[in-house]
Amino acid sequence: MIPMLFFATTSQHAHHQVSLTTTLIFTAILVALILCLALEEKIHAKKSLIAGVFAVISVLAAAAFGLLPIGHVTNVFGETLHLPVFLQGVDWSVIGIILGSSIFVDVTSQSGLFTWISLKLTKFSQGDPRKLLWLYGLMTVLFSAVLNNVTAMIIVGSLTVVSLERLNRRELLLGFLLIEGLLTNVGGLLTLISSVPNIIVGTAANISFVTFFIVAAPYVLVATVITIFIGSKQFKIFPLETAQERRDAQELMKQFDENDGIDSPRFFKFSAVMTVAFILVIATTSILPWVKDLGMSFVALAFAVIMLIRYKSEVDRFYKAVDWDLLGFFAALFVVINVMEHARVLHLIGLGLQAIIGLGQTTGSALMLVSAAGFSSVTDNIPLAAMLSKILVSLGTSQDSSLWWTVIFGANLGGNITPIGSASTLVAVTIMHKHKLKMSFAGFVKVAAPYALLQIAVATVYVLVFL
Amino acid sequence: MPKLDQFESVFRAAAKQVYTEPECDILRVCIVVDDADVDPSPFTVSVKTYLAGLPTFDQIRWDIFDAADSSLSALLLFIQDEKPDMVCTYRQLCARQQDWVPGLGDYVEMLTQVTEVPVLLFPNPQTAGYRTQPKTIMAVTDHMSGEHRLVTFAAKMTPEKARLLLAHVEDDAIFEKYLVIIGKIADIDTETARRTIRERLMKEAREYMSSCAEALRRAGLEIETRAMWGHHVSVYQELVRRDEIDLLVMNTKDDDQLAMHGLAYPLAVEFTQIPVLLL
Repeated sequence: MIPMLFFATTSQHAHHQVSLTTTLIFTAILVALILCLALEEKIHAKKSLIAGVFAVISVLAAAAFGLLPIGHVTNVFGETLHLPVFLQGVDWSVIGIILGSSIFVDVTSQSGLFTWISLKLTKFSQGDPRKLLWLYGLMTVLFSAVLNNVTAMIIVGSLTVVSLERLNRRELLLGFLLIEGLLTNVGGLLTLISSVPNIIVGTAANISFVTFFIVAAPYVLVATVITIFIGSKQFKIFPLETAQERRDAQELMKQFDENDGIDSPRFFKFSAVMTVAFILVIATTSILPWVKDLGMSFVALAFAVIMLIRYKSEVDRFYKAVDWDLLGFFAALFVVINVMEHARVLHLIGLGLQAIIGLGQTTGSALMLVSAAGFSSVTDNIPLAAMLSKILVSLGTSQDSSLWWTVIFGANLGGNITPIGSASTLVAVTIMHKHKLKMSFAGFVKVAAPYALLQIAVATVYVLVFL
Repeated sequence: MPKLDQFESVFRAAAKQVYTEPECDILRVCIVVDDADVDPSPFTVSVKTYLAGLPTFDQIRWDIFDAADSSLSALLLFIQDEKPDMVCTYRQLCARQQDWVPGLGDYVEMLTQVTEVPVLLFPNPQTAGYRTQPKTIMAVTDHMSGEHRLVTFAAKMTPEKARLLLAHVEDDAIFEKYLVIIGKIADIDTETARRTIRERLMKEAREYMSSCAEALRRAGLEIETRAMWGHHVSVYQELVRRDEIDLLVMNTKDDDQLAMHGLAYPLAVEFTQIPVLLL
């Protein structure tokens, strides 16, 4: 029955006939890849290498099974391009956005802009722990949205350590770091470029930057307020009580010099202007003449190049700082997923997905969001987002369908359930360990899971009621 | 995770050490002598004249302890029980002139090592003349940042119209010793380490001294700062000579020990002709 159903299903793309056995062999390769990624820490191998090994295996196997469309590619002008078959599946737009943004953020951070903002907010708190928690929480969300989750956690987490040490309130560090870690994934939902799953799903669904923001912002606001409010109660982060305590804390906070990290005031101002310009241009890419045809990856790379001019004789140090492991991982992952598409594995998963969707608008969407969250809590959310978006495209899902959002919310929020669910929560745990705070895997799940489940529940209601 | 460390460093650098005045009023002074047979002893008169510029001078309760008639342990017990804010004495206390050796003398060494009370150490009255109020005071350290107590004591010892000098000297030889090791570590760029560590060491000292100067000038004090590289004792010798220093203020104790620390002892032994306040 299954093979009948399998071959009877048609898709928009013409595919050659693939036997179920072949599909199952490739499914096994995909499952092995996902398991290896989940056990990344245990096997002591970087993601890019794991995905690279599986890319080599799957491309070779696909060639052996005759699954690859080997031949030249023709562009819209009818010109023939000689692009290797294994590179044709790589989404260079996603790679371009990530490469461009990470260089842009790295160079901009050299100006002292982000540390300036962080220290200004720290001083604004006047050393009151409760105010500090709210400000750092909002800063985490904002930085996660504008930069990326990991950079946001690094900046806010390291500032938290220094501030609380200065205030002699080190006992609050664990609570602060945990709440900030949880908020990175909430903030990662705010814009189209805030996290990789957003970029992948948003690009596949053709969601514009502005639409993405309008849909995600109300949820992000509610989830942030709930998380900080409950966190402040649970970790007993109270306001200062006496006037003397407030005066002392205020004096300590005054000792922060926000201008210390600014070597060149001109470059600082330039970076501030460029950051605003970057956000504006990214937000309006879909309507700007010429730029709309070139896409967000062009915008990100162009801004990176402009910023690099400041360091024209030493740009190589920024190239070295690029997370090549992440980019290599994406590239290899896209190669694997492309092979899986040709081997009809995605089609097979799509059938399962159709069964979930078939449960109806409410149950189907809710189950989809919860499953995506569960999956991304134990392994990387990027393969999940890449696979599901491909499948949703192949199922002909409309641009305004809430299914896209179930994947976006699930993939992002699932990262809050376990410390390995997202890179930013892993950074939060790393900071805890660096500062001798005990936090085991189980300990993290025990404390963080209730927050994550609450966030997922709110997201489910939000998607079902409003989208 | 290099970026984590990078940002933590940026924030730690931005968290400045700003001078805040700790409470350390000098209201009780114990003068320890070994020639109390003359009352008042010339040394006692000299000390009182020397300290007349203290803001709390009129409120000071004076105790005179004659060490000639007491044992060293009795002196230490007296200091521990009475807890004066400062002990004033001189080099080679209770030592016969023919036994004098380069150093402070047994009594003074024990005083500075066993008790936590600041000791204002004068040259031995037998070799030094009558003292007037100090005109130029210098507080010295090899780690100026955060030395609130040192700066405050030095400021209190500075009378009106006198000049206070804050001096921070980084020892070249010690720095080079660490750079030799850094030069053997492949992960650290030696030239970058040399440049950035040198800059940072001076920057922290300068910034802290500038915050001290700002606060103390508001209180009407004339203050100058010096931050430099060189050999500790040689640089301090040069400063004492050039700026005509007549009181040297320095720490003698580390947080984890009571005994006089590395820099204090050679300086205390070296500057035999000027009073030294050992904190």
